[in-house]
Amino acid sequence: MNNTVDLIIGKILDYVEPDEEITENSSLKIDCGLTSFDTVCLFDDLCKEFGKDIDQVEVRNCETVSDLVKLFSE
Amino acid sequence: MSTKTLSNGKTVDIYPLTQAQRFMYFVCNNFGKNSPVLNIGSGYYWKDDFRTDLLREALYEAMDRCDTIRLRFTIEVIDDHPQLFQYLADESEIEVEEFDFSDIPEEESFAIMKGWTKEIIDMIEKPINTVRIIHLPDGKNGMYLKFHHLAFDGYAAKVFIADVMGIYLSKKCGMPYPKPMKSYLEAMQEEFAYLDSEDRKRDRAYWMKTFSSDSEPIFNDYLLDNRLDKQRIENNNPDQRYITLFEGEHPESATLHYDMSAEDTEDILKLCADNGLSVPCVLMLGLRTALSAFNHDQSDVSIKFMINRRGTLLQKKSGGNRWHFYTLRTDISRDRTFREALSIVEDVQSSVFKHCNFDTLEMYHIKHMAMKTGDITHTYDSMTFSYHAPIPVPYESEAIRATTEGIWYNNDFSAQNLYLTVKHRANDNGLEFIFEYRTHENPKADLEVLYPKMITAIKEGVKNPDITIGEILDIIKL
Repeated sequence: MNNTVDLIIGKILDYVEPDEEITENSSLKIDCGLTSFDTVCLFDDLCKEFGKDIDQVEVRNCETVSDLVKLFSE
Repeated sequence: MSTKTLSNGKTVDIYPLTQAQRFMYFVCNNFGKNSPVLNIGSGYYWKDDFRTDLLREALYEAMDRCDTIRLRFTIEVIDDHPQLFQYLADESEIEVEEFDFSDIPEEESFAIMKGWTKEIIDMIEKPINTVRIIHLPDGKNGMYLKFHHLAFDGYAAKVFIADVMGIYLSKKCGMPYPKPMKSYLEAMQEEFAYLDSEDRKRDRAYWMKTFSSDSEPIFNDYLLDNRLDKQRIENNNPDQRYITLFEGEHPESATLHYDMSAEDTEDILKLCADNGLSVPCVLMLGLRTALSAFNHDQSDVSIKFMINRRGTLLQKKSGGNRWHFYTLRTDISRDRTFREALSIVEDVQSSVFKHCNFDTLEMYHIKHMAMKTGDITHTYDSMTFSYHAPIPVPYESEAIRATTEGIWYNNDFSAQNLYLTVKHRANDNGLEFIFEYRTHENPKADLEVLYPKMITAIKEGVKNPDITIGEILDIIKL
């Protein structure tokens, strides 16, 4: 699980340079500052990274880093 | 990549244009030849205890940090065809000149800077960008920037301004020095690598499938004197769904500018934040609903949608022009609520985002082949929409921020008939709506009807997201 968290946070940091540290509780839009475009691209990156084919609409249900972690840990 | 010895005797690595640059160059040559459509002129001004020396230092440092300030172009003849290639010069060779317009009215200095913007850039083996310090009346000072559109798009220009301001404020008040910029060559290589990638195969398959399985779209006019209705009569074809439109002549353009209040803008931002929705989707829903009202309440609306493709930090901070344009088609029935309609727009937007590295020109070719029109003058998308998300530009204090102005000096030429740009004001984050239209069509009076309908649709939906699209159409009916 920790590896998944670290990997996802690492991927998020490919997209944004937030002043505050990103944690599992960070909101993707407000705390991380990801735009809609960033989120779609990040989701695509994560699908490739984890070898999963998850429907893009699932991203709409992900508000926080931990939502992404759950989705890609299942 | 290959090498070339330039006319000044220097040997440099040269690269072909990227897909985005090829599209921009194609559009310029076909729909705006011999006009300054590729010139981007902008100004950024504020009132403070201004330090000319520090802004000059900041501009030079920002230019050193930004690769595409040094981007240049050269022509190589390949198989008897002259082709444009790009390279990075060792130095920008740009001198920051200073102009004092503090003693003349702002209308006059605006006209002078607009004139600079319209001067065609000699783009072969020369610096193509201009950076100037400007003094305006009433203690306003700042910078004028003229960038070549193959080296910068609107996003890259704003990132450059943010970098200049970050450096200026670090020198003036000890604010943190901005984080490093990114390599243009690396971003360009990423673009070239895509051409041979599995991602490109996937994206091509997506666009092929989308256009071959979709029904034929339908043109929705922004002119009240509806061209589809007229051409159906002229061609004695009541089922015609496209219009024949050649955008190659008359590139002369003008702009129509509207401001939304900071309070109304905040309501939209809050709706989006509370519901996890994107701002451009709300704006596009407003626009498509207004177009629907102009076209017999048509439920099936397509617009051309500009995507700046700035995701990773490499893409965000490497300058250049990354704009791709795609069709965004939505079919939304009257019984859908505003909230449901937003989800539909958002889903289509997400799909297009996922496949937006695919070449715009090739996407349109696939579309025309699938629609069996096979002719690029057969048009389904009446207008282009782009949203410029706010890029945080550092400021010294709220009081100084309130005096800040970001100005776009329109070059009065456009490669497209109608282009709506929506961006945020520098001083209060309120939205600006800029309709750039070709004057030969004279659509100003029509746009003066379209815009209020778009805004009413947005405000009704934001006020009550459970209102149906049909109820909104009844409110904004012609």
